[in-house]
Amino acid sequence: MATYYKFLNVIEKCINCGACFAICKDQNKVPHGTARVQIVTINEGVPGEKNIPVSCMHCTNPPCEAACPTKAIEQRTVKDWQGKDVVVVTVDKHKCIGCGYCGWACPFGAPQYPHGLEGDLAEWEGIMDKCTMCVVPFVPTEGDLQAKARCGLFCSTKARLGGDIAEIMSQYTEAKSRSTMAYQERGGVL
Amino acid sequence: MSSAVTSYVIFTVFSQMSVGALIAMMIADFLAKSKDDEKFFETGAWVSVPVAVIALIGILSHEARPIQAMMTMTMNSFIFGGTSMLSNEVLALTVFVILAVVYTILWLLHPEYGSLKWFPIFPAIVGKFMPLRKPVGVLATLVGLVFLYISATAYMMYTLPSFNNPTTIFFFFVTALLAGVTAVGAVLSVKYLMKKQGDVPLGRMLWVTMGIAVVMLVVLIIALMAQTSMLEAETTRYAAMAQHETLEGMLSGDYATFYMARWVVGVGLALVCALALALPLKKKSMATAAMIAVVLFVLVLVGEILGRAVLFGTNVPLGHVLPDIGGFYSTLGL
Repeated sequence: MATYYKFLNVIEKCINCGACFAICKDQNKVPHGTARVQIVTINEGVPGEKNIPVSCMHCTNPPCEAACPTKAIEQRTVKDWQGKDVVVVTVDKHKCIGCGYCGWACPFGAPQYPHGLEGDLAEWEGIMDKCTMCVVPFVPTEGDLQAKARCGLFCSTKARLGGDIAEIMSQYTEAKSRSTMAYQERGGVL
Repeated sequence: MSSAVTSYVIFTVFSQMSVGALIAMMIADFLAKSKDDEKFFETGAWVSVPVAVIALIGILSHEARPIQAMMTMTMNSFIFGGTSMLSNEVLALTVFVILAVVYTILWLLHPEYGSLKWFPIFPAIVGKFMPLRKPVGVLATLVGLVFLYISATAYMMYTLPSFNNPTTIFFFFVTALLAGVTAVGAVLSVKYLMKKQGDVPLGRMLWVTMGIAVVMLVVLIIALMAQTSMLEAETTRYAAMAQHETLEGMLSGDYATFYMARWVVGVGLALVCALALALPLKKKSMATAAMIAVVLFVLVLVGEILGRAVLFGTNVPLGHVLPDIGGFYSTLGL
């Protein structure tokens, strides 16, 4: 039975190194000006600053899928890098018309609409792009689809956890309790 | 104002105005008591379809693939009965435009008084279908009203907290009736001013225009006042943040000038103008009434465009509250 691929962020552990952003850009060939994962910093420069990598969260009931008028966005069952059947939310860029309705429907602001693309990429101007768990690169290719969530695999502090929700939930809970204990040991000082 | 906001403003205002103009022509159809009256009203039939075309150009101009958008959304709508609220909106608009075109043809190609009666063959054919004009008009009106409702609900998503309240429905219906009816009233007034004929039918039409305009402006005032209070009624912290940003943009931010101008021009002056229409109509001073009707339409159109620019320009989707996402995470206990 297919399981859901998700992201969980241990925000206390994220150091804003940008590894998730960089590996995503590199592996999915995402052009300048578009980011499938963005690192949002809260209280920047003040004690208590926190960083959160935000991307498509691959919702179980995706509002973007319900909003899409051309059925370009859909939940698909694909193989992950271990050969398991997993459910991810993908976008078929050939069907997308760039109406922007999914951008309104998504509570995380994940859909991106690239502009200023030149050369071979000009075809994808204004067409929605988002995280697909590394299943579909920026320029869609034919072939075997494999979910990888490389941002999670390459996260230097394991703040970004991506994969089978059943597996990453235990890692998340452990990391969360450790970070909370460390926080308490420091007497509430971050 | 971004190009996307401009597209939404053009699409929503003009598509709704198109529905309202058709409703106005339906009213005119029932008001006409003779062939002369119908001949006078016929000019108003030029409004609905061209205005719908402007709306379609407006919405397609912001799509990345306009032709594909037109084809897939319309086809998907017909084949699957709508894949989303947006395709339901397209489906309803397409059916409305088809009916509006048929209804307009039945006016313009009337063998006796149609503007296009000089066309070869067609007026004679259309003349045989003339008894269908009123039923087609009624059907188009019903589909138009359904389109207005679907169009409003398409924007009423929980991820768009500033739209997700009943005032959106009121705004869309008000725009349709206010702008559409005054547009037809203005076109007929211009015709009267140019030809100095049709005192009686124009008088009847302008009384109806005045009545609808006053009622709709009162509804608009209530909706505008309800909007600001409803924007503070959101319960989740995340949605409240989006609504707070919307309110700020509306009352003191980039769109504050537009918002105030909308109240002054589109509500205040328009209401004065609509009420002032009663005096020349009572005195049967049709030239003055016609001029006031034209001014009323201009004020209404400017007001509706300004209001819609505020509505779309200040709209903050939940996804755009990302810099404050800490609030969201803390509400989840993360």
